[in-house]
Amino acid sequence: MTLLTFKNILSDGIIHENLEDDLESLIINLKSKKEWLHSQKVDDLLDYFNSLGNYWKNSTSGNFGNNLKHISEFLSRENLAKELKISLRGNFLVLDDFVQLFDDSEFLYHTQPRGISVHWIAGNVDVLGIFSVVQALLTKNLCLIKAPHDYSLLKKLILSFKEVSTEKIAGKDLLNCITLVYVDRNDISNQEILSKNADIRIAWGGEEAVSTILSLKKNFFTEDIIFGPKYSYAILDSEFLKDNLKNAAQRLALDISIFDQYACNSPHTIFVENDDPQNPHLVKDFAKELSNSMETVNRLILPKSQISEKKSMEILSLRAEYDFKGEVFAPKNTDWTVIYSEEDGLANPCFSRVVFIRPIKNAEELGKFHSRKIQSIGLGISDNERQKKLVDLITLLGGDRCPYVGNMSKFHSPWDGIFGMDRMVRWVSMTNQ
Amino acid sequence: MAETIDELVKIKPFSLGFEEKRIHFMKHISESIKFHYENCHDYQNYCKKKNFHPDDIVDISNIPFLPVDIFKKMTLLSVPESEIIKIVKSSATTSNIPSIIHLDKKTANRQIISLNSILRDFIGEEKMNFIIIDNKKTLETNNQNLSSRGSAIRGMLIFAKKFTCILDENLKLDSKVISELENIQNSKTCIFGFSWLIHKILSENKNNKIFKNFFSKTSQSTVLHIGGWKKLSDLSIDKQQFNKECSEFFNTNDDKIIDMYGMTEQLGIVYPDCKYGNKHVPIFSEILIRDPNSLEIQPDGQSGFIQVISPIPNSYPGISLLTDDIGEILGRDDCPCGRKGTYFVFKKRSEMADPKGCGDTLDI
Repeated sequence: MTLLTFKNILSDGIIHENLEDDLESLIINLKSKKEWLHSQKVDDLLDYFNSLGNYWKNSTSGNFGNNLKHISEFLSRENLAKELKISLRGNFLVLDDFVQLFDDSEFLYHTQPRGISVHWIAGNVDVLGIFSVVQALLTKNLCLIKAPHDYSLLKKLILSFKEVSTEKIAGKDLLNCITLVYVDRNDISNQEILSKNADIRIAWGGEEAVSTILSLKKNFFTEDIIFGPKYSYAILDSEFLKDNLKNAAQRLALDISIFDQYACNSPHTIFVENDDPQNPHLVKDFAKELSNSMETVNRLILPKSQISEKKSMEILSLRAEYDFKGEVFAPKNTDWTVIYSEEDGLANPCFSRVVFIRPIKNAEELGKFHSRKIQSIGLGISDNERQKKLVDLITLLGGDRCPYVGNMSKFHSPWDGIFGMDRMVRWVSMTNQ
Repeated sequence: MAETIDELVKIKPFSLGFEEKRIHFMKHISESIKFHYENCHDYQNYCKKKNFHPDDIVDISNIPFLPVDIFKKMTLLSVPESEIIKIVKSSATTSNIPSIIHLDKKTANRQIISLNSILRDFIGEEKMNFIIIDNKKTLETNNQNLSSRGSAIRGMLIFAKKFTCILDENLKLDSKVISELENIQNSKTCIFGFSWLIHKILSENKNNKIFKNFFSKTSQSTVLHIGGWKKLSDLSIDKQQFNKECSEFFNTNDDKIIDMYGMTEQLGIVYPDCKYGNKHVPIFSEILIRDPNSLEIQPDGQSGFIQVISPIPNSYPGISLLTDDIGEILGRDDCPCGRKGTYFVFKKRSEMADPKGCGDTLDI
């Protein structure tokens, strides 16, 4: 049996699934689209992505998966314009022309695309990879995507670009700016070709995968944008839960279930601060409520996909362990698991909709568990002023985003501590005469 | 009807048809559960959380199971610590953490009797010369502690007239022992070892003329091997290939090579292959197959996690264990080899297929 090491999945807007093609030739071909993409106006690109988002949202024939709601929201013109504006110092027209920024009358500023963006996309979060592809195209960078082993959904999404056209942009032209390939992780030769040709290396993945990508040779001026490996969790206080117990459980059940917890923004531990002596069972009550919501989400919104035997056994083993030392709320099957225990600190992630509920006396103490590996901290804190102080305190050593619970999976910039689109452009200044 | 578990293990292991066996088995497994429920507080709590009381048992399928790796994470005892005479550690192949099993005299005795009874059914009553594919130091104990390999080898020695360990301390074939082996050349011989270790030795010694020459003069040795299919699967070695290598090197027939399925967490019970390649469940254990996702009992002919149930463990509540091994029940009472009861095939160790992504921090 020959092992698959390289495949041209999609280039020039056509599905190839070809094992014989040569990666360097594909890259030369992709580079030929640079001028066309550079000539597009950002307004037109925003229109296009807005239409694409609508198409994905309304598409019933394509079956684009359950996680696309967030992407469709992300692609709205309003959202992308805001993202661009924040990332590009207040004026996204800088992508098209030399413009003045803030009150500086001495210089005009313009951004140029860096060139070819290479996206290494993790298998479990293929949809997340779309975020970086859209950002790269908006900033007029060509996209060379290294697909995960199971790339069927990603291919379907990319190919659907040609189904959407606006007054100024035909989807098939934009699709020409994307090449989708599969390169086996052990195919070092082609991995190095990807890396050497990248003006931007964008890596979505776990610690091992990202380390491997970073160890590949790159050009001196290549920009690295790393998404992952990260850990996320949530904090709730008793005052907040007084009025929001059910709502918080419902919202967190969605945060946990989207991407089956394999994404960097999925919470694995939920800390509940309980300083209400009248309600000593609050934390356990919340765990029970969350288990109800996990069941509802699984049944009605995001059905759990099949897992491996090994993962199933890992879940059962964890459940048995906490049957002895905590309390487990779970159905008979392995669809989801809520584990209550009075342990300290962040629980080791099991993934696959296994979440740990832990009481905590004082949320301010959570900072000691922070490092750069912490990404999202979902918040349900009743007092706004305290929330600001708390977040400032605990994010000193790490922690990049603190959304309201239920919004943990909503992609926005900054992500992993960076404004991605700022890193995807090269700033040019010119004296303002 | 055997009155006690100790009497049960004395019945010929494959002599009762499934239905007849069920009556015996239910009586003894019910007693065993009751014993552990009353004597292991943690186990009692566990049963309560599963809404199970020993008086409610109607069928083996409603006995709560413990995942087999729970013994890697915690110590569960149903007898006072002072009654523990031996501690056995598993090989820790997958997680590097071994299962630690505490044995009292009663459990150890039952294990010896059951192992003896099962293996006699496969290799006969006559004691043989044993060639052990391991180093003799593996058999040594350290303050009651014994490795699972050591424990398995020791268990086999009751069938041995004489035994010789043929590996050096680096687990390489030790040519110095060949002179010892010359003396047993013409007698009935059994070769015993762990599957992965036998494969390793065979791979390293394809051209070892000294040993090949020795085995060319022995005839029709029985090869018993156990454990380590995870390592062999990783090397893409299947049973057919393994048997071919073995029969060539040891100069014996395919049907003399017996693969035994078993685990440290229920020592004393092994499930050897009959000559039709089926594994047989003895009277003192039963197996169920569960769907890996729904955990429902699978009908015969469909694969899933193997659950092993046995009343033999007395010192720890390892009476109903869900393994991460995938198997399939083929039938009951009608294997052409003539053995009664359930028979099954071991298919593979469960595999890790879930991709990890940007949420995969190696440690936090």
